[in-house]
Amino acid sequence: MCKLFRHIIRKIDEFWFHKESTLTLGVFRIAFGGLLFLSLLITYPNWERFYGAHGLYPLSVFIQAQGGFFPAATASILTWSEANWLLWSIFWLSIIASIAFLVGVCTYPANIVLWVIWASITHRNPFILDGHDQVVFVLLFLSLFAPLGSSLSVDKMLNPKHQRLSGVRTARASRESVWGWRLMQVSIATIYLCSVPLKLVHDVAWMDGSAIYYLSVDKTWFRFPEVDFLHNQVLSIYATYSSLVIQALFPFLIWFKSTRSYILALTIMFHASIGILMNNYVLPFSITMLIALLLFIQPATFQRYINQFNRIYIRVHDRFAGVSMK
Amino acid sequence: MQVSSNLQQAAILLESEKPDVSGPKHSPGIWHRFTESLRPISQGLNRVGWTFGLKPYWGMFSPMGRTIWWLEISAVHPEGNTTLLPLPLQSPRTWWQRNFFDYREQKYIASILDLPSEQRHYAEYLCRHYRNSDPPVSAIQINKYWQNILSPRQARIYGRYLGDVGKDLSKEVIYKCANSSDT
Repeated sequence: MCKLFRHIIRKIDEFWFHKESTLTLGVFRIAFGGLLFLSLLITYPNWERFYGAHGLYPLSVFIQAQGGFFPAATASILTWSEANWLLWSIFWLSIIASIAFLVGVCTYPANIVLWVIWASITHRNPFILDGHDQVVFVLLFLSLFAPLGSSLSVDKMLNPKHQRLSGVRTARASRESVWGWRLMQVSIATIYLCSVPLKLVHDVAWMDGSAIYYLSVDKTWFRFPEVDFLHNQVLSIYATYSSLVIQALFPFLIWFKSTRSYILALTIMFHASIGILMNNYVLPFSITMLIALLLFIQPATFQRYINQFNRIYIRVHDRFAGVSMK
Repeated sequence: MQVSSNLQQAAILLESEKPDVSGPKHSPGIWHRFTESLRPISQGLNRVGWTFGLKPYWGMFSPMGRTIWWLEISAVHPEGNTTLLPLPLQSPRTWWQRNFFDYREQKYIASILDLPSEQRHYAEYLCRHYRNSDPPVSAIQINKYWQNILSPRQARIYGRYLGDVGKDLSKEVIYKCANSSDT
């Protein structure tokens, strides 16, 4: 009994605190940084309209709804002043921070800035929020506890300790404790864990298999409501139950080496099909979830792809170098 | 004066004869007082969780819509005629606008659909935005439309997936612009 208990404790400790290459986090940071940059950039035409003092949700109404200036000011830095210069300074700061985060320059401060700005815009106008905003908000917060700048980053390349050890300037990943990374993985798995019971409780259509039929007819959310074939009842039953099964199995099968690749492939196909079949309003959520799924790919897999890329690069480089020598 | 005082006395008597329907009177229990004392802490933690983004709701598409709702937002001119405003979801948009910049519009409209106060804020914003337009805008009219999605069984019977388009007359609202001459 004592042996079993020790074994369980050792497994838990290993799960949360063992050291692992941070390559996955590096790849995730680049993809996530790219998403943040684009998400913020495409808000440019609507920035004042969504978050301005005289926009869709006036600042005075927001402050009143929050119960006064102080609670509003802690919820969003956009309430600190009505001035337009503050609003636009925050926009450009967020763009700079997202680029810094993407390339890994001052990764941690950039992460803090992005989190504060994302929290501010999320709280400032709750009427335009979607699933992608919530996932990004959670991931930005948990990123503060993970060594995102420890691989594939400029920070890593310029780290003098690392240069001393390796003798060269490189962005190769170091091995660090995985607990911050695990927090992010667990939070993503929780999304699926929560969504299935909520679906089954809230709508009988998820039980009788007609949920996807209703979705496929709704021009508000579906990209191809005119395509008759997609409203087929058999197809709806298949799509409804398969989406439920994938979401129900993901939080459990993703942790085992033997099942991980299968459930990951199915979940990627699930989100990709949502991205293709549903309207642009749902696309950011699908892209965010696909990027979040990168967190579940093992560093060894990325290392294999990087090695392959390096081999191809060297071959091409040598060939062109040979041609120029001749 | 005397009549009024008698009436007051009678009212007090009647009040005292009313049966007590509130049940037995207990002083709040120790558990109740304990949980009440924790309420500010729970509210504080809720607020912190919300501020840090740790109170998300993952029920996307858990209740599936059976009705398609949409708004039609028009400008009302001083002469009384209306024109449909060139807004996302109701006017021709460029490829860039459609695919990149308008992606939050559907969510916004879905959020304000049943919130008259938010519709008023939107109307006020539109009044400010189209303040200098020609012809001038004196009010914003918001019409709500709906269309039922037929169940798979009904769809088989009727040979179509959607019901007729309906106009929610109770939700037809005109918001007068503050700067218009007729307000």
